[in-house]
Amino acid sequence: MISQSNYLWILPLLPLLGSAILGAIALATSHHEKGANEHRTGFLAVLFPALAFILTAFLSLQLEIGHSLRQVVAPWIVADAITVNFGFLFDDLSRIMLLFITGIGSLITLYSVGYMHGDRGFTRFMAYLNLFLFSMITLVLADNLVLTFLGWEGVGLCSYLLIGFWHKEAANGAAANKAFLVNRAGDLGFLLGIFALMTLAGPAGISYTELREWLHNPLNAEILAGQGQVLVVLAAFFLFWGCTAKSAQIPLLTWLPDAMAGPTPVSALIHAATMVTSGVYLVTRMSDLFVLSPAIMHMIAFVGLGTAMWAAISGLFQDDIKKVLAYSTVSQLGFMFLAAGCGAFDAAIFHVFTHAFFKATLFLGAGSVIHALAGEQDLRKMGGLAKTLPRTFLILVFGWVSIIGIPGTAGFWSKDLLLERVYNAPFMGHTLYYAALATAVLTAIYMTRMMVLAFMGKYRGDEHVKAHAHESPWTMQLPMWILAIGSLLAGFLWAGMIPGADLFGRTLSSIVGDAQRIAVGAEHEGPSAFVFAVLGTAAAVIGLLTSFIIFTKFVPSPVGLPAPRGFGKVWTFAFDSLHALFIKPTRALAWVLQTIVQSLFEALQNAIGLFAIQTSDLLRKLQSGSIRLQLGLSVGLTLLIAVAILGRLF
Amino acid sequence: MIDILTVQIIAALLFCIGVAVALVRRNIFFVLMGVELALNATNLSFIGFSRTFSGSASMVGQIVPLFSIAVAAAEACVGLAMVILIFRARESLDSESFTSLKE
Amino acid sequence: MIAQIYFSVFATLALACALYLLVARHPLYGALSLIGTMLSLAGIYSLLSAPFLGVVQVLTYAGAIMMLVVFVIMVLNSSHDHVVPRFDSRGFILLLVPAVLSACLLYVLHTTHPLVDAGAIQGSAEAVSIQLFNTSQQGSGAWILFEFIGLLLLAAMVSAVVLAKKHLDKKDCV
Repeated sequence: MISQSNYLWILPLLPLLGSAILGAIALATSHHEKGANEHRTGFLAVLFPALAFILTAFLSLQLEIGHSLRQVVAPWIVADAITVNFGFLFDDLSRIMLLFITGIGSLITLYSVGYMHGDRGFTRFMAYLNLFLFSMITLVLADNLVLTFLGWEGVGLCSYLLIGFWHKEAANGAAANKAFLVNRAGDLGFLLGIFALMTLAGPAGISYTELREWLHNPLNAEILAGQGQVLVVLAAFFLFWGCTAKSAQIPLLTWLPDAMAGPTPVSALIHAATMVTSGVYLVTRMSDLFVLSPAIMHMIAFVGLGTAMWAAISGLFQDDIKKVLAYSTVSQLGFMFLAAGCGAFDAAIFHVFTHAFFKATLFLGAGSVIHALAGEQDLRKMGGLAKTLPRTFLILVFGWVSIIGIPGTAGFWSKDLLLERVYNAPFMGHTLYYAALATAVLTAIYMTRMMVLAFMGKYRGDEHVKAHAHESPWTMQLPMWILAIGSLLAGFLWAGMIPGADLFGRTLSSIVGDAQRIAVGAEHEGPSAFVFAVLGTAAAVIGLLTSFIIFTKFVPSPVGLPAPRGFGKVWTFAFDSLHALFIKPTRALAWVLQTIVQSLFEALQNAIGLFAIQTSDLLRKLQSGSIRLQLGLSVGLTLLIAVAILGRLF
Repeated sequence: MIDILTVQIIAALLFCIGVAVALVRRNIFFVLMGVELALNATNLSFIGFSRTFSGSASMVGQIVPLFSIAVAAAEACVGLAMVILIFRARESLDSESFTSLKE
Repeated sequence: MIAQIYFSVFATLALACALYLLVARHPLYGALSLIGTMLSLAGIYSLLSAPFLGVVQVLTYAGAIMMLVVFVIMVLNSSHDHVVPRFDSRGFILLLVPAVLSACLLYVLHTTHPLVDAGAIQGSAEAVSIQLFNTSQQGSGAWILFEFIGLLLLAAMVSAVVLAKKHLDKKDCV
């Protein structure tokens, strides 16, 4: 049931307005010594996302399950082949995504007010954050693929701007470039997917509601079975290609660990909670399309599993606290795609939801540790911080127990639901389940390693730094506590074993229910949920204990930079080497163009310029230097010409 | 009534005197004022001819001088601003001394 | 009859003031003689049945433009202007140009015989405004020029302010 709404356009407008105002303030104060007043700018920066959250909450409370709100603001592209509007669709899926995007977005903006205190680019940062929220809201709220693509590109841009925020260091700029270019390689896939859908279904191909109707329309069944099958597979493949870049799956995942060069709130918001989940959102949104091509679904599942395992192993070799969390994000995203590939779209979205909470908690907590240690990120130089920073420690503990899946926490409910669905998947479900369970053990190992190295044992770093270690201000503490409590309690929105607590699942059934039925087939009896819970908890506990024993004994000493060395390097940078194969020919071509073609054009331009200089030097000698003479000559010669033309005097 | 030919002769003489002032005098104020005089002379010529037409066309000879006066006002304004700039740069009002275009 | 007398007086005055402009020693004297020319011309306009234009001439030309010129002269030119000589050899040679110009113009005027048309409208502010603001298709369309003149004056005002302003402090920006 779709009804008209007149207020949806305000949702993306609010952060856009905030971004414009903050950008104007940043420009106006750009030549001052210090920037604009941080209290006022910070207030504005948090105000707009908070207002967006309140509006989202208001709209969400009004919306019944199965209902959706629609608003078409204005036409955008009007052509023969295609008509695209600026239209917004607020249904159950976008409601969930928007609630945590705006909510966590506001909290992290508040955190940044404390974290970026004293930075000269404070206002600019807040402007970029608001711009990011605008793009993300547009991405999720759009009612057609092209407007989603606009938001997709917008979040890519903001990711670039925010990763390279401290642009005076070249390494940050390089990381930002890498993120942008890898995302761009994925955007090509997205565009090709749009084209494939347009070829398949005409103008209905890009609007979500119309595509659903088109796919379910019995009149189109022959097309879908016959020649349309190729297009369906192509469209699904291309769209998934776009998702691999945005959500950092194999093979386009190399940008996410490098993206940790940006400030920690950026890592928390963009590279944990929101932007990277857009790939999962897209797959869920287009679930009706994906389930029509079982081959692609299997590919998604295997790519997701492969990524999860690969990232989990790489995470073991990292010595930088943020890189551990980056690989953890990649791994968890792999889990989400594994679920999606097995047809459990709602479980994937539920994992997105809980992941946003606990990953943001972990990142913000790590940011708090970094803030306390005045910029130290190397795990080998930390240790024993549990006594020095008790509140941060407690917050990180909440995030940690959630991610490894201790019973009762949000991560437990979502991961176990996810694994249960994977087990029941029709194609190789059991194999996938055992591999995913092994990955869960690995997750527990490397996350516990991080906690042990940072908080237990003896402090291995600079004593001077430890003496100045202090807890973060309230602007940073408050969001962390809210998110930490969320990472404990958010799971109860769909606690599979508690009857009646499946609000989340019921909410999504109108969107993905049909698709899931096609993918999974009839309900079949399997082991009860309790068995999965026990196995999952066992995995978590085994990993925890193993890691605890190993890493309290074998403490690494700091040697050189915190990048992985030796065998770890081979694992971690494997995909970078793969990409280098593509980059080398491009570089060669660029060199050819630079030295040969560019030099040629420059010589040509210089020749033209030289000609102009010589000619004007010649003409310059004609100047007389006297204004009167020039005036007189002008008037006199004009008179002469007039007389000659009129001709009557001669 | 007043003879139109006389009016035109006076206008022509005033115009030539204005051009003479602009060309002969060295002080740039005189150049500007000579141009103003020439503009006035053309206005007089227009108004002199306005009565040789009939009907509404005879008013054209009164509308064009109106615009001419407005344009002269704008030109005097900008010209005097430039005179001020030149004086600030060179401390001299002698047009013969502005020779930097010649090397 | 009396119009002829007035006309001769005004014409003589105009030509005399214009000639004095040619030989004046100080630009301020020149400005005053130019004002004299303009006022006489204003009188001639009124005699030629263009009274509106005569008043506009007095208000704008003699009143505003010449006031501006006098103001700038007094700001820039010192009281005894001995610095800039009046005439030099180049000036005498350049006198040829207006001489030839006047010869051509007088010759051309000599061969024409302009006559007053009986249907000419008696000029007044009302008549001018009827013609000027006639926005119909048959009108002359001069009202658009009127609007553009407004923009032109605005542009001149802005440019004069910007040109003659003191230099802003040069601190590097952004």
